[in-house]
Amino acid sequence: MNAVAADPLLAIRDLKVHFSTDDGMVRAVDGVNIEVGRGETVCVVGESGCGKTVTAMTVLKLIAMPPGRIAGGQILWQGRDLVPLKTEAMRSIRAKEIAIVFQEPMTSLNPVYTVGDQIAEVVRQQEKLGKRAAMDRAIEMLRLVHIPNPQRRVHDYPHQFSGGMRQRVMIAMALSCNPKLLIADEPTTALDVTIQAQILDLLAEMKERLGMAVMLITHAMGVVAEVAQRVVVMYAGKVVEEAPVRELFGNPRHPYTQGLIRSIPRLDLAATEHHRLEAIPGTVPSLLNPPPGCRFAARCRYATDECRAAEPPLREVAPGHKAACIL
Amino acid sequence: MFQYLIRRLLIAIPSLLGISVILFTVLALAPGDPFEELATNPAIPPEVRANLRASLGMDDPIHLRYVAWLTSMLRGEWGFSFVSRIPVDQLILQRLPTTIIVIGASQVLALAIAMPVGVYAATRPYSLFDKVANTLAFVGFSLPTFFTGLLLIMLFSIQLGWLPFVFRTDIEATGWRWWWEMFRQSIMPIMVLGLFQGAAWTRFVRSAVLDVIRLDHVTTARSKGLPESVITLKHVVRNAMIPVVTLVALQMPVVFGGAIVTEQIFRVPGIGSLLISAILANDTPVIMAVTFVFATLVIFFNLLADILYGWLDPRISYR
Repeated sequence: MNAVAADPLLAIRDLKVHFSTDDGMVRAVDGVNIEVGRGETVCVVGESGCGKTVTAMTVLKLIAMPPGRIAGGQILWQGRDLVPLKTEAMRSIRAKEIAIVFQEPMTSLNPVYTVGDQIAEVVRQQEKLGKRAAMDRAIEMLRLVHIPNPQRRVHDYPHQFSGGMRQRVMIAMALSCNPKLLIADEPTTALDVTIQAQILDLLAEMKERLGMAVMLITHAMGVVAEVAQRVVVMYAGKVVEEAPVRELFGNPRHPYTQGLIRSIPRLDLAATEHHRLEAIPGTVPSLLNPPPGCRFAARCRYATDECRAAEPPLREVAPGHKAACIL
Repeated sequence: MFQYLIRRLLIAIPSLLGISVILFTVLALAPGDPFEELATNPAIPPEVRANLRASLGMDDPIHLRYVAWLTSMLRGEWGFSFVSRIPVDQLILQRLPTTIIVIGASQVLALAIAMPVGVYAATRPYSLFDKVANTLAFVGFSLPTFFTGLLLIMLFSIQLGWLPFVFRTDIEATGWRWWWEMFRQSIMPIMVLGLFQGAAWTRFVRSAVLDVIRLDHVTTARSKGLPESVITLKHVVRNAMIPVVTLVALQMPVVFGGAIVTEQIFRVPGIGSLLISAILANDTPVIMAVTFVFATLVIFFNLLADILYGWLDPRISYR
């Protein structure tokens, strides 16, 4: 089940993104392969600083270049490589084909325009609608994401909305041109837990209604379990494991994935037994000078000399399940 | 909004009264006497001088003099100059057009330089253009106007002989020749003030734009597929204008107050030079009137800046 279709919507092939800093070259994304099929929900998961966001931003070429640079690889969108595309051509992809929702709803909207203006702006740009029609679309979108009183709220400014409501506005804006793929970059991280669930439900509902594919970037394994069909685990700029969601939770192969799963807080255990939440010791290595061999070796309880000597390749361990571990 | 305006205007009354008390007291306590020259003239007996002072009420206690000044001010009588005997309001109105034209034009020039250069430099930080613009701006606002003024006079009036270096109000020509002459003699003062102000504002505009350009909502705008020019103008410059407009509005009283130093160098007969000559002659009514008008303008433009600020930034509400 869930095997990647022969003709994926988005195929990131061996993507390398480098940032030049004062201290040297940071290899933020180092040979990443991710595929997203039509209508599929793929979760990209990993700790902070492991290249998830950079990968997502690079798909739409929203990283600052310079200092950033796509050092290699392909981003195939319906078979067409986006990497060599000029800004002009890229613009017609943004919002219309691939839309993105960011982590911080508090700062992602321009404070000096009404939310209606900001939604209408995309529609006018991408679908050449008139002012009136674009505003009507904005109201319709706000209604779609369950903002009460959309006819009135459309004239409000972002500061008049709460964080969760603003994230709904962001989702409404991202979906207003019916994209085929929605990239959601930690859309719930900045929100309260109860609001997080609402936003995830909303994303699921939108996906059901509009049928777009979703690439959800997150560091919360709980979120992954709830929404994903397929999961890509990233560590230190690389993909370390990839599997359908049941397979990943049932049979995690990479010690990093196992650690992530063990670090999910469990209410049942914590309440009954004396149970400490497990954490993965150490931190993500510097991507300035990544260690040779497996990048997780320094934090891995099973690491052997072999791990430290050569980098294990990503290989298929079961149908549709790949892991980069020699064990 | 309307209520806010009324309240602010009511608050302005005590501030203006306070300012006038301070100004009046300082001027009254200041040494110097408008009839000093008479004292050194042996042809005028001291009694005449004393009578003159008495007739002008100069020997009254200070609070009586202040009340007298205030009541006549409220009646719209600004008094007359001790020196020229011309009513003060007339004297100010005579000088105002020149000041507004010369200083106003220089501020417009400053904005015309600062806005495009500042924005362009900020959108390409650390590029060659940015470095050159930054360096020139730094030089421009480090050089005082009296120095650049003299430098320009040296070059364009003395070496090249292209432009006159004394501003004249008695140009005989009429029609377009008069306009031409006015234009020629205004160029240098406008340039000196405009470039100085423009240099300072360029740096301000640049940093204001740089503050906005790295904000998240600009990335959002980019993710919408908007053209770069729309992103810069609509989502960067529009937001960066909030502090810039405030700064410019607060600077506006200067336009009316005149640039004292520059007006002196080019002999521009504006408000600034009126104030200087009045101070030198101990011409209290003129000093009082000019400084008071200036104070009123400062308060007015502060209010205007606040209103503009709220208009530009919807997050600010008037209560």
